[in-house]
Amino acid sequence: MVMNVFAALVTVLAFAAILKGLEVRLTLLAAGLVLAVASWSLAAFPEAFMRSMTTSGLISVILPVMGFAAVMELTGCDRHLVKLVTDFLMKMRAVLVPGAVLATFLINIAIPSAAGCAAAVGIVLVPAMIAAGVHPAMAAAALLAGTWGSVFNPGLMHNPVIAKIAGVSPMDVIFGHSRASIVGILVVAALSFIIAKVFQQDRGWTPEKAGAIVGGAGQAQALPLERVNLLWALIPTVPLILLVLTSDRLGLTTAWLPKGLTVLEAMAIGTVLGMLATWTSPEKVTRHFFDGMGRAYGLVMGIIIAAGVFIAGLEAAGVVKAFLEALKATTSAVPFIGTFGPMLLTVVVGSGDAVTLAFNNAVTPQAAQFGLTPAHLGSLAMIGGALGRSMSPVAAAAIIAAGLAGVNPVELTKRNAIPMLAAAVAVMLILGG
Amino acid sequence: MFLNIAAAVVTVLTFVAIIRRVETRLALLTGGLVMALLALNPQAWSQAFFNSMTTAGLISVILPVMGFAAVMEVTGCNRHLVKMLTDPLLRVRMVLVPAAMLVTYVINTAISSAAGCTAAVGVVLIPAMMAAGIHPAMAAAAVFAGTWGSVFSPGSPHPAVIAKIANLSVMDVILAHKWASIVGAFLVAVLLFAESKLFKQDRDWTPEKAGSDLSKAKGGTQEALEKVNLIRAVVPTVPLILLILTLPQLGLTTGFLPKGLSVLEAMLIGTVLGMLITWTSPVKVTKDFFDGMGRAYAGVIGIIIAAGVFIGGLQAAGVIDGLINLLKTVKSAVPLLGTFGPFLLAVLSGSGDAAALAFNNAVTPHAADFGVKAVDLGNLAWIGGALGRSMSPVSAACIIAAGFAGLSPFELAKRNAVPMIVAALAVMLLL
Repeated sequence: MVMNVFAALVTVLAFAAILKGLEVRLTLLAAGLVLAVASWSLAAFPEAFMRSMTTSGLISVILPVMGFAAVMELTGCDRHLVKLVTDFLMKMRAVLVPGAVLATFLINIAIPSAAGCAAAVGIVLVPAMIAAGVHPAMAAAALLAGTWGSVFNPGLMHNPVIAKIAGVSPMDVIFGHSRASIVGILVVAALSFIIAKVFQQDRGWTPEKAGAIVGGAGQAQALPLERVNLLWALIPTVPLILLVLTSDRLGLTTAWLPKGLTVLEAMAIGTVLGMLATWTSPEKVTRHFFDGMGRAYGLVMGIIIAAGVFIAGLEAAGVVKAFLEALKATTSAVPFIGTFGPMLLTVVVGSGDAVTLAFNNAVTPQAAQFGLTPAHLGSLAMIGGALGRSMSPVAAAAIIAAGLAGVNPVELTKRNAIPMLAAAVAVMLILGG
Repeated sequence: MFLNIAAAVVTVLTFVAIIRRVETRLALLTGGLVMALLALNPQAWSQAFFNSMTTAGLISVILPVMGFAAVMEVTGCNRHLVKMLTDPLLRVRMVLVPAAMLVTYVINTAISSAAGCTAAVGVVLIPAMMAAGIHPAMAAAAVFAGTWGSVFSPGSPHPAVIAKIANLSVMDVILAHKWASIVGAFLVAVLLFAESKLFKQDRDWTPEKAGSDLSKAKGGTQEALEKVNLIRAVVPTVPLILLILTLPQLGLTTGFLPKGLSVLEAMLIGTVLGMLITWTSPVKVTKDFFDGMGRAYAGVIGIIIAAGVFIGGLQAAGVIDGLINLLKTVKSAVPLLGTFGPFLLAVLSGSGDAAALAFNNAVTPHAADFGVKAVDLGNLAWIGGALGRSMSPVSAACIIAAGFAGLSPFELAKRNAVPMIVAALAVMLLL
């Protein structure tokens, strides 16, 4: 009990410190260390450090994307793309933010990894939105807000798990929650739109004015372009197009297009194409690609490592387990707990998978006792977790989006909190009512 | 058959390109891609890229070491270490040349980048030695000759790669070559001493007499240190000392010292100590640590990825098996090839890393077939490459040292050639 209160205190302090602008990695590392020491398991710190710094799933996605982004910057392709789409975006600037949310949501169905989707879409969308005058943090927040479209992907782990518990097919689970999820994303898009308007986040911003650290990826200033080279402008979108076209679910893959291209492959192809199209020296491209990977390791993986250490501290303190036990012991207000339990914990730990799985395995089989179908209760937990991730400052997708915009991940949380909470309420009322 | 010939041609072209100073990573990546395409298996390329870029054993060892190194640089601990070790040196004029080499060697175990170490030590030692009447080229050569002390650093890509192949810990790999490397270092020192005596390079020289052009020499860009702070000087060596002290084999570990500290743990402890002792802002330390990790990812892991992709291409082309079978027929030549292959390429290209990594990935896993232990064969390739670099006129360390002396890098290479070749032979025989 004491430990839980202490851990809650440390968590609040850490998040407050990040909000105040203290270096994110340092704060999370320090908080993780304090928790590990307090719970008398010092080894948890280096263990989590080691585990996070070698997570191959994230390394193999984030680094190639950032390497590709560095090459696009070198070759100037990103500027051509930005110029190409800016005029168009300017015309529909009124709905730019909600449009980005919905576009990301749709792409996330095809590229179901939140982190991978944020990276592949963000590299195109974030610089373009920033160039159109959207606040960098708002651009990144809009991207993050759409990264729960994966609830429509039958390959997402939770859909088959719920299907098994409920004794139906994964597609049935998806159809079961489709109305609620569609309403949910529309709520998110509408509220993002309102927040952007009310706080004047959608026009007249420059990265400098917003205090964003430029020089990360795809900053589109430098020399104004005379005219757009269409071929060059298309290059930054090549990996995204390839990833969507070869996605297993679309069934478009033929003998010619290999099935399920990896992010690394898509980025490598994009890099080579960019090199050829702009006829840039391969030595320069190689150097920039690897430098981009290295920078991404220091910044983006750095935050992911720090977040991993922090979460391990929470786990060492026994908070996560206590929370799960409390969830499993729920008997009243199940739809409410089933939605907001996973959501809240996901906000703090950045990934909803563990919580959602635990809840679904422990509570969802008894759904009938609470007057719900297992498919609905399971979907609630899944969507709750996914919505929580889209407002978590320690989720990999948030860290990537913030990295692309050059802002602090907490800035994204501030902007996405209300839309996500409102969407969660809407989903809960539809599925749990 | 066609593939074998094509692979041989591509391999030769790749290494020619590296010698011609094409960016190493680019040459290896391209060579690997060409072979993967010829083998009609382009996914072998991306698969090898993926595997190398996410190898936990390499990432978790190399990056923390480089992060720690970056922190030591910024906190100025490195400079204290250099000054602490070089000050007493200048009082022993007789053996100044070999002593300078050995001190650089020792410092290089803590500051493991050859170029970085040369810059840090050279800025102090080379002008001081020149002032003592030593031929500028001899002074620079002595420092340059010590830049393979990094064979004791766990932050190099090689021990991690060898450890993975031989299924040992990184420290085991390093300790396996300790005698060979120590003997090698003393041989180099003795031979340098003999050279300096024989060719009368150790007294009565002035830069003018030696024809050195010091106008372009880099002056001490950092302000000179007044006094050595002993505690600060020791910090850069703390992680290595901790790693050795907590080795399970030593049996020194008690309740206080955990058994078998990981490299990451040792580096984190060292970083925190450095931060506390120099009272540097934690924000700055955090930033530098992660920046150092990032730079190491781009540079060191970058080369590992490229070498892995190259080997992936060779494998896709199916030539590795043929190569191994061929080598089996000439068993006894394998250690020779392992040592002098990387050695030669290092001399020509300024870095033996690409060749040593390629050799270790391709051949070392089959060491048992040649009657050698994997760890020994791997260490041979590593040390061979490092020795070759220490006499290469095109290596960054050589160019830096030559800059301090105001002479052509070839003057240094000339003086280091004999000691390095002899040391390589000795190491080969010992392992």
